[in-house]
Amino acid sequence: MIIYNKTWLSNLLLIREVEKQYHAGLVSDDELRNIKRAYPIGFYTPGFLARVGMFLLTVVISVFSSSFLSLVFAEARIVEYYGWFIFLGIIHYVILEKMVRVNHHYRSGVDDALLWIFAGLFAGSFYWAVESSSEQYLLASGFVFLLCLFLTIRFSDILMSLVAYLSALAFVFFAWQKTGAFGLATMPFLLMTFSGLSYVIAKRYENKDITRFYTNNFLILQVISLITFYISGNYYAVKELNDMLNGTVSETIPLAWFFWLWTIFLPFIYIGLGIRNRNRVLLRSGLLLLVAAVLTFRYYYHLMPLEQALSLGGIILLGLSVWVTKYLHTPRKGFTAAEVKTQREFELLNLESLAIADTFSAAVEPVAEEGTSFGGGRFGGGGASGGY
Amino acid sequence: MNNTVFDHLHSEGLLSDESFKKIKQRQSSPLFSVHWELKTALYTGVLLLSTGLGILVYKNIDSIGHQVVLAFIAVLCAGCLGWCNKNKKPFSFAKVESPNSLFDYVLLLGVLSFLSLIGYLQVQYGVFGDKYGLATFLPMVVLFFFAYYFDHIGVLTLAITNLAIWMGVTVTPKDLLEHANFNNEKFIYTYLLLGCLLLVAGWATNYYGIKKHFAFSYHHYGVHVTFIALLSGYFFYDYGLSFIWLSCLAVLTWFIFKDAYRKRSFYFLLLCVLYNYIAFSGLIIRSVIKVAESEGFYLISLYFVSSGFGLIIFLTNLNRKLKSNDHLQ
Repeated sequence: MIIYNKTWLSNLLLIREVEKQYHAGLVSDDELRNIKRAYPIGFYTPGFLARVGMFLLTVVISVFSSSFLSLVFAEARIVEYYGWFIFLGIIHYVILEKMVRVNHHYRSGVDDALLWIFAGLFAGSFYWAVESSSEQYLLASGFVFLLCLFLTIRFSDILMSLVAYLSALAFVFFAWQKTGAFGLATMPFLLMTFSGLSYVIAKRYENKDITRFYTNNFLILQVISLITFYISGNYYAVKELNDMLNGTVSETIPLAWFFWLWTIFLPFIYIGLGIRNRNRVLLRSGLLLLVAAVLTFRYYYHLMPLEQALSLGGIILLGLSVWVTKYLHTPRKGFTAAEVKTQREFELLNLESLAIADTFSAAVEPVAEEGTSFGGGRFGGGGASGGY
Repeated sequence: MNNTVFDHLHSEGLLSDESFKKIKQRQSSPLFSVHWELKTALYTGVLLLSTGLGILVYKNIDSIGHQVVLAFIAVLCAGCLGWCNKNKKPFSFAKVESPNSLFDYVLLLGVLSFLSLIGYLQVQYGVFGDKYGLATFLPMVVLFFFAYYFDHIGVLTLAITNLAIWMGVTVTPKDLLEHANFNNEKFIYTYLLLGCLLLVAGWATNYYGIKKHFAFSYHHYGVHVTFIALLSGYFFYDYGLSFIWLSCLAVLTWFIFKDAYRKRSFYFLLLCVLYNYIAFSGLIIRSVIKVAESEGFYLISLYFVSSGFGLIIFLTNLNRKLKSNDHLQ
């Protein structure tokens, strides 16, 4: 089912494994070169930046050739129906298949752009077709799921599998909503079950031989299912969704204690399990969701003003991370604070510096003052935001 | 599959006994690195604390508490910078590795609390009086000094953004999109001056060999700011006059392209291509509208489709020539 040459894909996986050891300094230059020669890859895969550039250019070409075609056929009055967009989508898909099969594009930017434009055109046309139906959301989410599932299997695209999962979740949601009040009351538990099962399945098939070309898809599936598992029982999500669907403004919800426990403790369970099982997906999801837990709590209980909470949180976070860094100065129990060396270290440093400039000077706004040439501007890029 | 890959390669003779043994040894006792998790936590901690303290000072400006907060910030600033000064490696004009990742964030916290302090002193006591230029000039100089003294690229980019603020403009992409106003000649010329200044700084950094690894930051901001300034000048002025800007753009492109090609930096080559594509497409659209108004859209569509194909082929060839060097730098 997968469109790519399977030998090349296997070779690619193998070489990535070897490169990991190469960057760690365990494999020599000669060995890497010989292995690359023995396991050739025929794909056309430019670097990341070229991929971005080619993605943008492909979008430009697609937009203008589509509108050119539409203009030409506008006289015939066939452009105003969804059929026309399905037709455009099919053209995109045919070109995509050709680029991948004949020109061996693999994550080149061209194939990414064509894939997403095709998916967008098809999903958009389908929604257009069923718009007037009373079941439009159910139908649309089901269709998007099938479409993305097909594209995931065929192109093993990671983002596509993410959309496939989310649309499946939406389908379950809309289907269960049809059952009325009972459906609404049990919705969180259904979504929890769905997310939990998805995680178990994704975890089980992560390293199986038959799914070896989809390892990253299963990885992203684990991340997103852990996140939706948490959101399904998050107090804010449950309460606000209930209010929205019932059109009520409630003070509290049934089983509030359960959802509060879920909101606060699940991230810690993730982190704990992540540390115990050396599972990075669990650990990082847990850390991320801890932020969600704090935000949820703060939304309902204002123990202190924002700036105090920020300062206190910052101090706690800094203290904890300094302590862990010191604690793991020499590796303990298989954990280390040291970096696993990669080739791109320098580049990451540059990226990080750009992030610093962007986050820490975001609140500063230069002020144009007539008359003075270089006089404008307020204070330097400190974190000091607020109107002063 | 992971476990069998190396056995397989070893049996094929592609992996020496020594490498194989090293890999097996490593796989039998894998270390789980929490390096990036810690870095993210430190970064977030610095972000939260400096933001929180910054707001705290201004909110308590009329109460007795703000003295305490101010003292806290001063102590924090002095503590962080003092600690960094004690733990830093000796100064050199070459790259100095930071002693550990903690160092980078402590320095960042120290520098940010210094900025809060300066800002507060000006607002509350008017230390710099009405000389607003000085109030932004001083932090900038201090930031540049810290960046070179402690060898910290993050502080350098903060210094560059402060240089822009002192000149009355901004350089970060977000602010450029949100606040920048390009319908004003003064802004365009200020940006142009700033961009050229940064490009020269980047060039001088390499030429004189002072902290060569800083060159990327100067060059990165310089290229973006100059190109954006030239493009906005080009679109600001009328058809005839705009050709002066277009020729400036061409000259600049020539220098940056040549430099990037020599350094095999695909990033800057791509920037040259994309910015020039915008300028050239602008020229085509403007010309077509002048000549043929009714069939204009057909011509423009044809132009974009063919130029898109042409550029993809160009980028493909360029990328092939620089195959192994596709990275920032």
